[in-house]
Amino acid sequence: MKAAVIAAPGKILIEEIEDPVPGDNDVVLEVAAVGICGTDLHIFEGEFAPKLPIVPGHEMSGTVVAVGKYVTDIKVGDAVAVDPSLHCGECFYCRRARGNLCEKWNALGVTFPGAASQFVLAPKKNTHKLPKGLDLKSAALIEPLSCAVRGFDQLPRNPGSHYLIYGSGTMGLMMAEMARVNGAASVSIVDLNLDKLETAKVLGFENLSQSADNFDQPRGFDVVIDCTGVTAAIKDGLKHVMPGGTFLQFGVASEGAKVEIEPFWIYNKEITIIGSMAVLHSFDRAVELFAKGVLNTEVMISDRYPLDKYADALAAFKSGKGRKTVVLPNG
Amino acid sequence: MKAVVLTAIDQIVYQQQPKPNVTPGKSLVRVLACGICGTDRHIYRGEYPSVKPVILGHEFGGVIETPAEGSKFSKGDLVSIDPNIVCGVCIDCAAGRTAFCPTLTALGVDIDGGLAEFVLVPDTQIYKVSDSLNPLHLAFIEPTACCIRGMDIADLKGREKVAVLGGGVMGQIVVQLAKLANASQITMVTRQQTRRDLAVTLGATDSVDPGEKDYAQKMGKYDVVFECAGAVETFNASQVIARRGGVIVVLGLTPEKTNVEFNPFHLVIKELRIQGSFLNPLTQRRAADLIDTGKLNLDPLISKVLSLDEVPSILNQSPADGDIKYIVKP
Repeated sequence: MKAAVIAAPGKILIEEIEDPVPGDNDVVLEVAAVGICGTDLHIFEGEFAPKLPIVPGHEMSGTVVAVGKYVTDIKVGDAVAVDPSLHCGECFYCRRARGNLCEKWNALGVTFPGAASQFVLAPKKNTHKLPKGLDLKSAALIEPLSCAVRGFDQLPRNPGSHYLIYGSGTMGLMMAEMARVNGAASVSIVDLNLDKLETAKVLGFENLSQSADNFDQPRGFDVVIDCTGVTAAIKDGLKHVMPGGTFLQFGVASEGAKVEIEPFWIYNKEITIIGSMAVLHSFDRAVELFAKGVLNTEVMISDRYPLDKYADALAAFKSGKGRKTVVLPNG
Repeated sequence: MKAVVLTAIDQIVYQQQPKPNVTPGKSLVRVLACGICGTDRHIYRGEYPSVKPVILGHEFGGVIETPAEGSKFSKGDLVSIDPNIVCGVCIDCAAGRTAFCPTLTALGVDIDGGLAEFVLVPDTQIYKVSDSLNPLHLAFIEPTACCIRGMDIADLKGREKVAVLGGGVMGQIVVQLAKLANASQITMVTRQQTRRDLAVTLGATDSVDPGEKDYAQKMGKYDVVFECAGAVETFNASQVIARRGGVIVVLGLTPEKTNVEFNPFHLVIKELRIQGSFLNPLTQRRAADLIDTGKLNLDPLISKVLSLDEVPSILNQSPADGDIKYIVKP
């Protein structure tokens, strides 16, 4: 089969490699779509260094073409999406149901072959069947949506709350949609890029600005979510949390980033500052939400590339224009 | 009556002034014990906002001297006072976030408090305790209520590893509350040997001297870290000590405008929760009941019992090494 292979930092090749063969508890899918995410870029640029070579791609959907001996509830022909997280199940964190913090964390597309290929192997326990009639080529959005669901699991999720979101890209817009389905009283979005705010407008969001100071929330917001990972945005966002409110760090900052805060303010306003890491027991709910149509896939996916153009897709993602970029390995 | 009055920043006087008269809904309390708190020092130095002039003292209790008309309290009742007065009807009060009530005023901060022979207290702030309670222990109910708020935020379920940074009165009470919550390990981190030793007698399993090089890196990882020191250094250490998925409860009062740094990358990959704990919203009753049971060991925390006239010189200086709590008997 054909696959995109990151051979060394900065070097990606389209190669012919062996077709995967399912183990007893595995399935093999023909990949319909694989999304590109910051993690793929970090691996490509050598900032996040699993063992190379690796086939990237952890946001995937497809059709099952082979199943292992013990796989009974998933059949050849089923439409599926795959949770890429491979938790050891044995470490301190796994035994406390915090597998996303696993000490021996692995993932398809990061440390095991991913879906930037015509076929991919996945453990059956990671494989989620999709309802009939879903557009499989959009279903690669389920994995990032499951990260957004995890983010909301970290929040109080009180109905009638006012949400402020930094970043109107793919993840910011997903978080905004999540706020909506969680009964937000209002959703406000900040982005410096006016084109990105325009996209939020298309999705029906009204409180949009290049500066959070322009929103009429004198008490601050119940929940502020940073989806940028940019320290200036984080610092600004912290200012807009209402007393007793929560700041969620969702965007991944660079490793050495530092943000100044005033402990007196955390104490005196009882602010909660919390992080959210990847996916945790949230994939099945993301499938449900996606099937219900929570995401406008026409808007959320802005670019589609064939597998041969994987490097171009990565470059397009890096340019920061548009929303989700997906690669369609089988056309 | 005699009282200790803050007249301006850095100016405090012991003086004679009229005894307050009972007004509708407010009873007159004869103060039996009033604790001196770090916040009093912050107020004195202008690091925490207050009205001036005001009689200081927000950790106190006493006996009912003259009940308000129609009061449910009777002359002679032993009572604890919640100093934080809220409206009870605004959106924050209704949501249980009474510490953020926009009308919040506090006895000893905005209204005359407990460093006086008598204090006029709204009946809503009065909690009756059993007659057998050691009156000096009344001074611990408010700080314990603040610590219980921190415990509620930490949400211990039992068998957690807990680190307590700061060996003052809050830290020493948190150690005892963590023990009652069945923590598996309770590590006290504080500079003074006497405070470390005290914590171990009160229930800490071990202690660490933060004067040692790279102590935070060597400590191992904790499920819950209570920052009770209010210092930049301890806030930074908290982020090192907290394990993945861990909680840092900020109970210590760091002066306003003092900044620290946090690492947003680690916040994500460790899924840390950093949460502030402010005042004693709806926890005063539980604190009073807990102290009534005698389950907290409070006598070792009393370093000095003072008279009112000694307060100005005491507020002027930091507590002596090893001292935990000064209590004033007006």
